[in-house]
Amino acid sequence: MTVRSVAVLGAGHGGLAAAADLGQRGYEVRLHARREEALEPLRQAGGVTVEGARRGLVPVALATTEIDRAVDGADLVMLVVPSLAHRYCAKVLAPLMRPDLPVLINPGHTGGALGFVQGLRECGYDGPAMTAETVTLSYICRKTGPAGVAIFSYVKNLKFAAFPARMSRDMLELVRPIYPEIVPAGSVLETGFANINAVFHPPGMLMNAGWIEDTAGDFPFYREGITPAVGRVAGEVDRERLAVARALDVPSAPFLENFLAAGLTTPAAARSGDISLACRQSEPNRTIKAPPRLDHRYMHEDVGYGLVPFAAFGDLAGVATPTIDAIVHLASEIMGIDFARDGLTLERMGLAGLAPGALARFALEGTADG
Amino acid sequence: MAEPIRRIAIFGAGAGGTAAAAHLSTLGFAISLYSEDGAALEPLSAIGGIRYTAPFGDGFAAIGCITGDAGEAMHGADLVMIVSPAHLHEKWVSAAAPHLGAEQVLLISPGHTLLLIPHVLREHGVRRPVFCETATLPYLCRRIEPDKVRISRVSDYMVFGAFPGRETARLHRLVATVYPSVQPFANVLETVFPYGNAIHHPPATLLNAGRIEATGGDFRHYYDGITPAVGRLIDAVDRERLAVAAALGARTMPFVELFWRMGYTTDAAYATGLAYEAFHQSEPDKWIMAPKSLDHRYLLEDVPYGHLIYSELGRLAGVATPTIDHVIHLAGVVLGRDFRAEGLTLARMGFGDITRAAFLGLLEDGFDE
Repeated sequence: MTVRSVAVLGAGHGGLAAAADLGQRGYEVRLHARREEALEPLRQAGGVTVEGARRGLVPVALATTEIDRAVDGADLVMLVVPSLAHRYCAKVLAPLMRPDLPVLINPGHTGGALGFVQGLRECGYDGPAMTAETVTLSYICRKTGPAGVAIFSYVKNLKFAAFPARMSRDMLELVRPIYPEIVPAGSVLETGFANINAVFHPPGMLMNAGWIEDTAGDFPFYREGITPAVGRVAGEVDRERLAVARALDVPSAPFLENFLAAGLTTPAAARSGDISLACRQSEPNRTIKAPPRLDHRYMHEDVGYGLVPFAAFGDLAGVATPTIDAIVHLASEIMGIDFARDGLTLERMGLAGLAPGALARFALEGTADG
Repeated sequence: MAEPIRRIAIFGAGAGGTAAAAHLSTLGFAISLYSEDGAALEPLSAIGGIRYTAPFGDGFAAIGCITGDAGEAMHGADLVMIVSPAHLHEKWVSAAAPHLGAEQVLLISPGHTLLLIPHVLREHGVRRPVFCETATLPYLCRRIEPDKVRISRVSDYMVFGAFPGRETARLHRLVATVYPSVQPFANVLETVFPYGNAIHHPPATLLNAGRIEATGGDFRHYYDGITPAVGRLIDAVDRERLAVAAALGARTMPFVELFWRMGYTTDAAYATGLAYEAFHQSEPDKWIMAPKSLDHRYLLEDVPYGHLIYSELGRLAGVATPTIDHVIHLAGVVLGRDFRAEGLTLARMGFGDITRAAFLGLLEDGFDE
């Protein structure tokens, strides 16, 4: 099958980038947002105005808040929403789900597809699901206005996996024409452990919490905020993450290897083993400022849907994650959010009670049953 | 001992020790000053005392005896006062122990090392150790020149307790003749809880670690650094500390109340009960800058001799202290140290396996022999 029509769920930075990119490349884009206010400007403008890697005014075939209209006739459903919204998407898609309706979660971060499918189960869909995820968003992009987006570049070497993994070939065949940069990984466990944001964003946020609040984030987050001490904590998070992955037989590379592969630092800095140095020598990140407040996806997403599932996998594997646990707990205290309860737990990934040895089979088959 | 206190031996020639020497000298006490740090004593010996600038005036306080010999300093003293960081308590008490007479009052200011001092005294053959302590240093002070100390404030509220607890009333009467602001609490468990620095320094430093390193501490530690989120973490630490104290039956008060009682913040801030407001409305602390680096007593002392004690007492009391424990862990990662191994645990006080009941009994009654 070839994908002609894509239901894009989400009209934020990534959703608009996908709508413009795919629309200009000839796909029929069926754009869905929860709120009318996100869509009205597009209707008025006659589409999405894109700049950067793509240029022009791209009409959108359909812009709707009605999920069934968006999905009706789509060959692929693509979630381009913050991780926190995956469960909501599962809830509204559950009544519309079919075994032959492919769903791409772009990005899935850590455990995105597992959480989405478990969400479908909890909402009454018990048939087979055919999903896949990318580890990070396929675009480097930023909204320029209510109906405009700049696509700076496509992410290179984008890790991609299907859930269940036995659908890998089918999902790859569907998605590769859309995103030629994807690189297939063994399973969503492998893409999930390759989440680099969860390694350094939360330490950076926590250990600069005072600075961010006092100055509304008026400092270069990576170049100045990831100091040697912050880098040491991120390094410890990374060691714990790798120890969990190793215990579960999931292939995973050190943070710095992934950071270098993503083109975000110099080979010399990556070789030094020093995350702080690698961030200070990150040309693409050089001028990026800290978030204006702590209430930001670097916390919500990278703690609740990054560190929390890392720790959950640690529990499953019987591997202690004291540094990750400390960050989750202290972030919870300063944010007034119980991340360990509200984030992506083993229960929410459908993995509660699973034996560590059964995880690989679950990732392959999508079920723990023989 | 019915005699009033006349002669005081001060151990420690840092800011706190020299502030005490200057202040108590102006009050008419005969002072001797001991330190094993010859370099710290030399400028004082050269002029025979210490220069000071203080709320009670500016001037020069002559010190009769400035010495590197603990026995000489203690000879004839009615009160031996140790003024040092907690990690030096073992060393100073070891230096004092061989010379300590039964009639001499041993005051640690600030103390808050719980049973460490009786343990060290016992190791030096003092079978039934007695001492007293304040929870905080009596002064807000700084050594501004090698022979000059600046005292910004003399504390008007100090929590005071003795070991064993049944000695508190007697020792309080004596020490109050020197420091009228001491408030008698039950015992040295009740002096360990109201040590403010141990409550707020580790969380505030950890949540500003990036800024401290990136700017060399070029911001106001309390006024700029303790934002609402940082305040929430301090409040969380404080709730755990209060829960541990309550479980051990120790009388203490919320940090914000303590801070207010010590005269550091406004009535309005006190009314909110929030650490953020307490610091943001603190006039005395407003202009204090952050540490220049993370290698600083805010972590090096207040984690292993502050947070860790609360965690240890929580374990003894069966009260979970997750926030405190996570701060200890992250501070260790930040500085590459194992604070649980090097800090003040019950085991290091000689009571690794003590039960809650035996611990509370010991605090009140001391050693039998």
